[in-house]
Amino acid sequence: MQRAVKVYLMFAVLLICSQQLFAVEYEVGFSAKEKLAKEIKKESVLNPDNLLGLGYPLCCETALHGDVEIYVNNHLTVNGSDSVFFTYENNEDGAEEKHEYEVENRVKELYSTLYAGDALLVDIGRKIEKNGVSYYTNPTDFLIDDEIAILGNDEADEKREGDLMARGELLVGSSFSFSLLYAPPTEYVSELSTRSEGITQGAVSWQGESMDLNLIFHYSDMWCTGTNYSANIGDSIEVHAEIALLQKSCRTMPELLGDEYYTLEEEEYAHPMEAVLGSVYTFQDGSAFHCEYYYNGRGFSRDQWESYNDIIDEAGDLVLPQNYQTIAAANGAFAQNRGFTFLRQHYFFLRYSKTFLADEKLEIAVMGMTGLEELGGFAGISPSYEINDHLLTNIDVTMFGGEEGSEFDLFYQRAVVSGCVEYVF
Amino acid sequence: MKPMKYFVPLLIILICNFLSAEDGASILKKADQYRGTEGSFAMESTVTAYKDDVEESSLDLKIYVGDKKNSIVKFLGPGKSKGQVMLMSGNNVWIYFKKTKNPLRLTPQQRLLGEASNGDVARTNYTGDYDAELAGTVEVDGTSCYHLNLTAKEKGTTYQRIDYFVSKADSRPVKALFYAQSGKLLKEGRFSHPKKMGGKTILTRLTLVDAIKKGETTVIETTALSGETLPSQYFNKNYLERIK
Repeated sequence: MQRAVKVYLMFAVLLICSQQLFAVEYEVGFSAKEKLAKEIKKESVLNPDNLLGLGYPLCCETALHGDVEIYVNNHLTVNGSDSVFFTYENNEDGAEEKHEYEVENRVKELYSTLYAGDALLVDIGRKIEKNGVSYYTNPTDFLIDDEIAILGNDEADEKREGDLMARGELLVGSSFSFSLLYAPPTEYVSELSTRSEGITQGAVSWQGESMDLNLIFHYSDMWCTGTNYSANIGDSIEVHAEIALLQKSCRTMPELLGDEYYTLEEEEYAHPMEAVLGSVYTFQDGSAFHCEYYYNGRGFSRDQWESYNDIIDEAGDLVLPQNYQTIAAANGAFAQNRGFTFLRQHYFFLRYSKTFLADEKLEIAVMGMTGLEELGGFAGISPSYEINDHLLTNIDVTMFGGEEGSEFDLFYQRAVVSGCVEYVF
Repeated sequence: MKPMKYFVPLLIILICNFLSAEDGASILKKADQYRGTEGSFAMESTVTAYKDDVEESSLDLKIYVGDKKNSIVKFLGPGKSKGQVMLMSGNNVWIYFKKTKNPLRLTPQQRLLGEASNGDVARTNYTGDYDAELAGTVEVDGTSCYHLNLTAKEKGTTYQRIDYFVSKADSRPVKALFYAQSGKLLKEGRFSHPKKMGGKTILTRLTLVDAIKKGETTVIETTALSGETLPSQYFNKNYLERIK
């Protein structure tokens, strides 16, 4: 708590000082999030006989057992004579668990922009650099941490923090831009932004009469390259695509150690590809229908998936003591391969939303994702209501399920219901 | 001599057509003067949606007009819309949300609020997007008007066709009927409330009435006009996050 007070004092001083010299824009908002209920499968092939001691079947954890996350979102922009541009964005959250408060102050962005004329600008500091044109996941977003990427864009955007970097961008007319960034290795900035290797990334962006195209080159401990594209067809259809090629990737599999025991082995493989092909159709009433196909070359092939399932089946009989260790290895492989929607190779995502984008009191979004190799996926509904210009509420209901042997069947949760109240000044 | 018998009337028709097309374009150019100033400028607008004459929601916007093809719309509020920035470049539309950080492409038909499309607020002239043809003269609400038939120069423009009614006396826009690509009438617009802004008379109010849903009306009102400009390089989707 003391840390939060210090941060706000520093903030107030900064605000007062900068107001004397520069034009200052400050925004603050509060939001409280609560997992209202979640239903957890007691039994699954990855948790036979409730080995991991999870939840209660066919009942819900109530709000009393959930975590309340309170976020304070600050956004400060200081403009000085159109030549210096300073942006600070932090996200502070306090989670209440068993009556103990834990306050964490996360600086999501803190950077300054220097302008050299109208065409060249340089950002120095901590900044979120995001690439991509797709809705659910962005294969060409090479700077995102894998742990965040698996959450899907909606949640990842909320949790993401910037990288410490120097980034230059050259704007050529309104059609072209070239950017180059360097992010040095950082020992520890926060849990989510520690870089053991420096990153160099270059991008070329072009916007034409009815389409735009971006090329990205990335180099850190390995190289990655990708391209993304979006275009309009007529007045109501948008199409987009992203393709990324990686130098290498790793897949974790349980491997036999001796005759009985399984251990986790990392297998490296070359040049996996990830791609998204999607489209948005806008109806005359303003509602929009999104669909995306996602190819994940980093996922298990059919043969690999079958052998992974065979290992799990083999360990189903917990009478044998070594099978406990096998189940642990299978759980480890699930987690280390980034969990569902990244375990297999072919997915299809759908979303229908009734919204006017900028301002409408009631907004309803229905979405779902399905694996194309085995039947299974998740479906959710997310109504949000704007009580007034400052107060917003939202409820998310997501259900998971799949046939036996599908990755969604391995997932412990069956349903999650969460609510959010947000106040914007 | 026989071919000449057909050639002369054909030539006359062609010349008339050419002259009337010229006429349509010049009337449209004059009418555009009432909706903004020439070249680059900035204006502030309020968009308000009504249902059965009861206000449902509203948006405050700042619009930077670069040229006939480029404009940037900054959402000033209220609530969650604050901080969003939209770029309209030709028929391309991108929106930047502070939370998501990357600009996302929208379709031209995507609505902004109520009956207002992105193009209704981001475009202040029709000359750049439409070819005009003079279809005749009609009376609209007691005002003698030119009836211009506007057809989109390119596919993907906000409206494929507009029936535009411009006062014969002073070239002031009076009424517009907006059509979708399918030919279906989408909405009717009325131009009103002339005010002196930036040294000239501007029609500050465009009232859009839904052609299908009864009682749904949206009013776009220009509240300020200035000579503030942005460099042409800033009309780039990668620059949207920096719009102040």
